[in-house]
Amino acid sequence: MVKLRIKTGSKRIIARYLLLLPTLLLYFLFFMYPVINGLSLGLYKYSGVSQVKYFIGLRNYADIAIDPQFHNALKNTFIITVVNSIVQFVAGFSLAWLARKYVRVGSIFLSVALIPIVLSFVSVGLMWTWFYNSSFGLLNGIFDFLHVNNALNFVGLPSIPRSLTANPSTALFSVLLTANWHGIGLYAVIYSAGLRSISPSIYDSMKVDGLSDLQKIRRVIFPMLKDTIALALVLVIAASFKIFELVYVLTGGGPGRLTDVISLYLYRYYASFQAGYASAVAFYMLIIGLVLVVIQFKFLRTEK
Amino acid sequence: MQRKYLYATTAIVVIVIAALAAYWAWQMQPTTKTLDFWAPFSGEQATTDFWGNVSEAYKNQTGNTIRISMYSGDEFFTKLTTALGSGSPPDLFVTYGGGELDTYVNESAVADISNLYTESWAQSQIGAGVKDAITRNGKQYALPYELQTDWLFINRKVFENANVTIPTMDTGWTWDQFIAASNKIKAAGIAPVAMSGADSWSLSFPACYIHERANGANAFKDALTRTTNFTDSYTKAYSQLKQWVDGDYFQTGWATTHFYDAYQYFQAGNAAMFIQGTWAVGMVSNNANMTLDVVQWPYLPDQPTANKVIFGSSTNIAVAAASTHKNEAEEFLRFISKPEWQVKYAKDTTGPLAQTVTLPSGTYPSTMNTVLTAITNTPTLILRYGTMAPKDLGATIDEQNLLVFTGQKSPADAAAAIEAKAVQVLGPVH
Repeated sequence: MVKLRIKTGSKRIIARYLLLLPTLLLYFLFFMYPVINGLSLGLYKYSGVSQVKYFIGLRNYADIAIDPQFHNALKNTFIITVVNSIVQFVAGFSLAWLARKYVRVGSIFLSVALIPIVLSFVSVGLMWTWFYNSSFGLLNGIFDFLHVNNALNFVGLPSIPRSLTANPSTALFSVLLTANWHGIGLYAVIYSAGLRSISPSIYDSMKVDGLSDLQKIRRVIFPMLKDTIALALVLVIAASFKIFELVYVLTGGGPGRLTDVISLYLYRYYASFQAGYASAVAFYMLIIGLVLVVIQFKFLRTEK
Repeated sequence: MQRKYLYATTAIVVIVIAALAAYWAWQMQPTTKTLDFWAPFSGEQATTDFWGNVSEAYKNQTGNTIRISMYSGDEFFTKLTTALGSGSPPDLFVTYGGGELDTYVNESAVADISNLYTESWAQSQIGAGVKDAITRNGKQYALPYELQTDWLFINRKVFENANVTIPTMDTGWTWDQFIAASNKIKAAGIAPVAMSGADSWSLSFPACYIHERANGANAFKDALTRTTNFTDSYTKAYSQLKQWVDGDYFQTGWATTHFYDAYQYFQAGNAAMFIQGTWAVGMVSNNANMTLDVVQWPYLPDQPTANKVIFGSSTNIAVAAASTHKNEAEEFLRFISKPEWQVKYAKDTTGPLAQTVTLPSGTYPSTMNTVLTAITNTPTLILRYGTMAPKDLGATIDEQNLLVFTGQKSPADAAAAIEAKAVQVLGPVH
């Protein structure tokens, strides 16, 4: 009988890989396989209702690349991602800072800001649809009560449109306003947790040194919260890039396609028996998402 | 050694017990079946209630359960596509025919139910027109249930208050008369037309009519068969559509208003007209304060009014090819076609029946009777273009309608986009 002798070090390595194997298998099965399959489906004219497919090469990918509607959806997705990242960073951090500085009032603000997080995007979308409604919406009611438009006209400014969601110049703004109202609370909590993780002695020493709030934040707090900020940015970018339900309910991508986003664009093609084309869109989304992640990692590494 | 035997004996006993339990469970499983039925009628309470009642009655008679799932339009197609593609579709599902049914048939996703059509009830109840709509290569693939047509609905009170005369169904309006009436209503401070721009399917109703009135009933079919292109006819139609939109005849915020909100706006008396399918009659029937009237879409001045064309589509029920309960599914289709259920459907939902069944007087509200009489006097009933075309081309047409309506594309560019898609899907013009 021949016994295989395996060195202890090699045994450990094998054991590590064996332990990793189930995770890798699951990762391959539920992530890599769908990605590869999605990429290949994008090469077909494929309705999605059966396994019947017609190979058309890169036509879907080429059509998407030159489609102005895709460019528009991509542009809107980027605008939403950038604005959400900035607003939710600034507002979320400010709220967390105020909550730390003025504990009683601040914690009330923090709790109130957190309420929207427990609501689904669909509920939020419906609620804000009524809020923006041109006939019975609360927003117009407030504007009417305060004679906002009269005041604006008096100083020579144009009136605020009755329907923010339907007006081409304000539709995307209405989406951004709602998305940020929904999102700020979560980031305030994340930053608040980050601020609490900083030792009280550091706050005391900043006080002793006589630093202003801005100096404290810029010179001490931000460098110490780098990992928290990075995490929050990853979350907000991922959430904004995949935004779907809110836009679907609030504007449906309209008026026309002015507030269209990539996931909505994809959905429309899938619902009209163009699963091959939709798969190609999904692959573009993946590539763009990966690029964003890579840029972010590079940025973080440089910072470190 | 003894321990080994003990383990082995225990294992054998466990396996035998498990096998016996499985056999017992198999023996005990009910002989009745559960069938899934998916429909895109979410939010339509009367319709949902009807299907609930009919499935309960079917269960009482056969013991088989019909599990009904109601979805909204987009959600329905997304879920159905996924279910069909994964090989686990519902046993029965709704189809609007046209290009959608073509896809199901070409990809063997629906069962051939031609045998139903040889039965006497089907021969007497299902007319040639609706049968043709679900026939492919001489075989039938669905059961027509409802025939919805598109009309210009009128809130009589608003017209009377604005002192605008409502034309009769026979005389109708010319385009100029329609615009003049709209201007008068607008001057009275009411939106002439309630429009739902958030639902591109609803924009297809006026878009189809404008295309037909501008180019004739055969222009679209000719372009589909590639004897002509879509560019010329759509450029002409979209130019007129743009003029209409630029006249500002819709309610504020129409571009992001959904169908149901537009309907609410109309029935509350905030808009004078509503271009919709006949389902609007049923919806309005719950409002005792409203008197509904109906006219055909206006004609262009040089069009003879005798050349009447109405758009619409039939709602059909198909059996999935992958269903393991095809016999029961067909039995259910027979069951719902019984005259008593057809009458109940008409009464409960006010939905116009696709099958020919004698209805007791007073089944429908008077507006529906006007519509049904008009249909009988109409020589041509055309499937909505977005439905008639292959589904991918249909989606492009609906999309271009939306973009022209909202001023995001010029008529010429939108028409060119339709033609480009048609070349891709159907090939170049012969």
